[in-house]
Amino acid sequence: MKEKKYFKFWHAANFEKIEKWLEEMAKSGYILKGVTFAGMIFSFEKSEPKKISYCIDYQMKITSEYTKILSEDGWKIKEIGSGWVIASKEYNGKRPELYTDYESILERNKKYSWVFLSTLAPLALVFQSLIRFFEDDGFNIFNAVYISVALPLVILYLYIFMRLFFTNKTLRKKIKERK
Amino acid sequence: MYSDISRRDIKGGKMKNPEKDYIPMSETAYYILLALTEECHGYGIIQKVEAITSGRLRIGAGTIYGTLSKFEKDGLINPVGEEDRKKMYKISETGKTILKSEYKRICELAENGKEIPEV
Repeated sequence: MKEKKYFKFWHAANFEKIEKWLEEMAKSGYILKGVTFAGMIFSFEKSEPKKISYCIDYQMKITSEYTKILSEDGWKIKEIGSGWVIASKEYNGKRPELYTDYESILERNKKYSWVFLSTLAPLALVFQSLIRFFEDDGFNIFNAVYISVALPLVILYLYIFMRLFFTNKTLRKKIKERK
Repeated sequence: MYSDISRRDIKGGKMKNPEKDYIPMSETAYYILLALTEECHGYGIIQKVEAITSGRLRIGAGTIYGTLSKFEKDGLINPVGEEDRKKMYKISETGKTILKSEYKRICELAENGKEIPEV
């Protein structure tokens, strides 16, 4: 049995790329078997090429009601941690979607935007402590290492938050235009 | 639409003025409420809506779950027990009021549409 493993970095604002990539892999005969390392290491198993719809979703709490409705509708669910799941469904014809309206997508996005924002607060404290470090000690090797880790992290967080904000803004606009 | 919902409109989980937030309603929301004029569970709603629209509208499972949670929170529907470990729901009085006014609005749309001149 042939197996493949890939590392892919993704975040809350670009998971559609992962969905598309997983679908391409399935089309070329590599079916997702497992996801580890905070959802970033994907292992595949060789099989027949298949048409599979992959949908990444977020739930504050994965309830039995949620898994029940999805599995009754033919979805297989892989929990990847912190409320994120990968749902998959084999299909012929039209690609099935987990969400078929903008309103529910916006509701879901609003939920993880808040969760995301709450993780930003401790990060801001880290950044503040960082600045204080510099004021007290001036430049040294520890500070240099610290800032080279913390600064890109802060920038990445801000970037993801901006992306989430604009995605939700577009969704709101689409909902308004329909009415 | 969402921008005019303020925290003050929501009291104890139930909205003060649900009509303001739910009318006009999305097609999905309308059909979910309509399906719940009889007791039904999540997946049952998908099947029911697909049947009454002759297969045109197949609501996604994520959409059903999200909408049911929101409707329950806003008091449009009530949980009425379990069947085969599946949560059953039914439309509430508030839900009925909203569904009726939306129905009237849609009738008005259709009625006025009859005057489209033949081309």
